[in-house]
Amino acid sequence: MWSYEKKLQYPVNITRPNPQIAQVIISQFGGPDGELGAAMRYLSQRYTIPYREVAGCLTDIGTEELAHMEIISTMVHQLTKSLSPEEIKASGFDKYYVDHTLGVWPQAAGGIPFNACEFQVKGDPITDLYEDMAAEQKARSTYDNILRLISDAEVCDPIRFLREREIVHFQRFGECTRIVQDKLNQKNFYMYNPAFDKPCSCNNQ
Amino acid sequence: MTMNQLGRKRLFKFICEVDFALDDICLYLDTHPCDRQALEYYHKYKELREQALAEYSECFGPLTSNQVEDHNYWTWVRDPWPWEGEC
Repeated sequence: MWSYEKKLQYPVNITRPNPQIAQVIISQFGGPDGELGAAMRYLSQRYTIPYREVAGCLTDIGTEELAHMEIISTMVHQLTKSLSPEEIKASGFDKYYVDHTLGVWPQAAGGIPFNACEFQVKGDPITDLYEDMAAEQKARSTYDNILRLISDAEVCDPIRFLREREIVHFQRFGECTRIVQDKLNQKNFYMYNPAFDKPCSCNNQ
Repeated sequence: MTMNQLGRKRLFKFICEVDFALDDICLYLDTHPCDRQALEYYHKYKELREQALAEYSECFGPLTSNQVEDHNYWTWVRDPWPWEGEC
């Protein structure tokens, strides 16, 4: 289970609303490489992982992704706070506003709604961990793209923090992959899914 | 800004920094559970976190719902939420 702490993992204080920037960074909430998909991917993949270190990593990184989702959602909220109908029309935010007013809804920058097809749970630790490493790199690239589009320091600062966390998570998933491969190598098994091909549990490593 | 608010901000920032150090070392320990240096680091920051959290909730209000001390009002909903830009 989870319990809530009344704080963000990294502070967000945006004093200048800008709905155009909000429409770009909302992709890291509900877009193809966004934080919601990341949290759902890791937290869903953990159940069949037969190694406790790797299950721990998926649990803790998945939990941190929920905190990142909150950071991005907070940024979208503060960038769209107290907008007038004129500002909404002039900034092109009207297409979002008509369906969601100033609420924060998970979608990609292009308006495509979040859906579970943006991630996979394959049930094979090697396959899933390679997806996880790719996901961290794709999110890092998205943050790079965002940083090329915006210059407001109040927005760039938390975006840079989130970008750095993608790099750390990539490193940890790389270590998870090594752990799984080492355990497979112990018995010289290669084309084998340790979550399926043999009765396997955390007690039977 | 009053001294009280200044103290609140400073302590809050300290808690956020200590928590981040813990978030990061926890991930490292997941894949390096035998690293004694990392475990020492974890225990040091865990203690700092516990002290700072206790001090904060006593002086400024709860950061988790199990820190509510008041018997007359549910203070969990009194203070701003993180997305309001206070934190």
